[in-house]
Amino acid sequence: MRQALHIFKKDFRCFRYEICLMLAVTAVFVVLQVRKSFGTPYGPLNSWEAEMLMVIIAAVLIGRLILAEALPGDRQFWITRPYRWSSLLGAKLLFIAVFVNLPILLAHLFILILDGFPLVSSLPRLVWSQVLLFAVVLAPSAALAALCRNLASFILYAVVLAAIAFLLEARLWEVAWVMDGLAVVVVIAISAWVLCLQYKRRRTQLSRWSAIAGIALGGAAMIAMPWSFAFAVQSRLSKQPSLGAGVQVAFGPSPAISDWPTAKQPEGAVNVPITVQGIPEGTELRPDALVVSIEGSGGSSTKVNPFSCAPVTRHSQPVGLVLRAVCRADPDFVKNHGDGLVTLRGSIYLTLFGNSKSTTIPLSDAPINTSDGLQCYTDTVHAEWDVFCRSPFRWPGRLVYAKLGRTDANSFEQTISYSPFPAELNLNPIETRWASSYASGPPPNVPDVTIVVKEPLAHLRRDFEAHGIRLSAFMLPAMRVGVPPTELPIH
Amino acid sequence: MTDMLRAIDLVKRFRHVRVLDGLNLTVPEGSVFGLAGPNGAGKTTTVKILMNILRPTSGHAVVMGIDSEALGPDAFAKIGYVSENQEMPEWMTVEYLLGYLKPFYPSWDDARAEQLVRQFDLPLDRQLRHLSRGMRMKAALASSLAYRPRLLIMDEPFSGLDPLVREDLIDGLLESAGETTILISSHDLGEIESFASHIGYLDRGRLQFSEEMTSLTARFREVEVVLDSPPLVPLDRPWPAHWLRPETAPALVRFVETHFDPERTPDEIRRLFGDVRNISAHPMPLRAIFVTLAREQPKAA
Repeated sequence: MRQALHIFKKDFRCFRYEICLMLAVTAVFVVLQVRKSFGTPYGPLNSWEAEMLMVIIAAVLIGRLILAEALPGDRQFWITRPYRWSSLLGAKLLFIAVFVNLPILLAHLFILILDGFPLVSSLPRLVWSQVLLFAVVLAPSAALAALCRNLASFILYAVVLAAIAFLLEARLWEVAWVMDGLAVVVVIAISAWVLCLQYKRRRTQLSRWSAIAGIALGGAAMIAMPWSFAFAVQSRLSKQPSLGAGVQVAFGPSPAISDWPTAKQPEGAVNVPITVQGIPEGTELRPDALVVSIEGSGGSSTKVNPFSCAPVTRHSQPVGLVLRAVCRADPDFVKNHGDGLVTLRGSIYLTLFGNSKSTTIPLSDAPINTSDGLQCYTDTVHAEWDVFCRSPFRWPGRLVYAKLGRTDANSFEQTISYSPFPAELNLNPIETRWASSYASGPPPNVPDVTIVVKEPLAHLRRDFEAHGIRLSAFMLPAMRVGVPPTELPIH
Repeated sequence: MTDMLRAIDLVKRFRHVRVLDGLNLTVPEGSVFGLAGPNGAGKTTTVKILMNILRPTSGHAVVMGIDSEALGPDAFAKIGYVSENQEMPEWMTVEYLLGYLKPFYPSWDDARAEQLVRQFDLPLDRQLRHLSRGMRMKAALASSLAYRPRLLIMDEPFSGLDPLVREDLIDGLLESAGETTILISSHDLGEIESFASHIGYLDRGRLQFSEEMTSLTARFREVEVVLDSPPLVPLDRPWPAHWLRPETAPALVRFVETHFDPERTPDEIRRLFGDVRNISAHPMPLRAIFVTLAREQPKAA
């Protein structure tokens, strides 16, 4: 421990100017973020630009820190000195925690305080966000630097890895956290392995190859992981799993003219209607994803993955709740089987929301704390009666509505993550969303707004199957050639 | 005398190049061992394997009784290492470097450090990046001698230094020679000759010989034979294997005797050449010995 502190002090002296720069940019970030919160013009720098600067300075600082006692190579003076590997590694990680993690933690803390978020309830999120930052970004950066000979190669490989991470980013937001969780485990495991191997043995080639193998295996696992697995994990975390026992789904009814989307659809687009019945009283059902496969009479088939079945819209009809999705199937398959009879199979992933909580707050452009860590306000200066809510470290995994006067509840952007973790990885600690404005008619001229929050109670998967479907009846206008949709028997 | 360093059948390959080819080397405790050899002979590779900077392809080395691959902080606290191409922490001042290293070494001797600073005339407040090459070597040596290491390994320490700096470095080394075993790899034979007690000659990854300096200089002689008449044997016949670089003139024969014996060598000459007018045997400087060996390597072994 004494040796670790001794090395730490040396590094502090060596990098004192870089530390000052890091602290200065972090302070600027806080100021810009708070000014943004209070609607002050940003000046020469936006807070995201300060974020980028923070990232660059932190990366350079970590790179230079590790390379001060570089591990690859055979000319470094320190490798024949009595350094204990655990002390050296401990000193480097302590430095990163103190001069990168801590300033960011303090910056976030200041932002939370100045923005008026309740500190006690925000504390777990704050701590978790820092744990994530250290384990998923800072320590892996140190591991990468431990494999590099110089700063230039470190920065080059950091950019390459950032690009790979961007490409592997999960796209199905609701359950992306399962894939992300796997990625986090892989990143932590690789980083820990590389750091221990490099500092203990300086086996650079072995470390590099094992890191590459780990990234390749982790990436392949992420790509190969079926969405059904992610949803299965999600459903195991249901708060009230039995709540959805009575929910049933069936394919149909076939779309009426008014059901067709107005926008021109790509070739192969098929309208998939699903009727849902048995929704428990007092709950709200929300479709998360839809997977569809269509089998032609000749045995050929095509599968449509969840990314290609969006958006799923909801329509209350006498038969129950009807969900309609526009699925982009293989255009050739649709063209070839348009007039034939097909079998359609699908799985739909649903979430039941309930335990509704309402908080009524005065309409004001000063943010006011509501429930679930949310702060809400209106922007009466720039957009009349628009309602904004913001949340520290992540948007809550809840449905959030704003009800203004006697209007229907306006939904906030509802791409929500059901992640059970309290924070997401983000340098900007505040996520702000906007509820659709009061677009028509005069301003409601009401003194307050009600924020409604519903929590997810059960995650369900329901499978459906329909035989003898004439696909042309569900093909969307881009492919239709004057054939009006007709009601077809559903089996 | 026990062995401070031992290399056993060391082989090191870099891709397809076999830099060390079964090297066997022993450095006795308390010796000042000069590891000589031409450029590319494998001296630096040997030193780096001994210091656990490189791993051998096969074979192993033992340093202070520890396998070189197992050398750790406890062993390094007793070993000094100075190399011509070592990357030093350039931002540190000399004073900060010494102060920084002090806690790493339980045997650090402040008085010795101060003495070395004075002896080498080191500017304490100057950053290493602003020191001349000679001064940097002095700083590196001072930081390696201040804890009175049991073993000091130096890789080409005199390369590119002016004579005054060399003298200073050698003086510093000589003061430690009693308590510290020193291994110096160098192709600067003149410097090694002045203070090495043992010498090893490395060429093409193999140790061609290794022995005490006194024994080496005693057995090598440049012999000049003045003949009375033409020799009894034709000069193009095979010479004794321990006679190197023969040169002949009508009544003169000159060669290097690698196993000189004041009694046996003249007898051997007379047996081959008959009566000779004069035999003179001149001691050879180390440089001349190595030039001879380098040119006639197979015979020397």
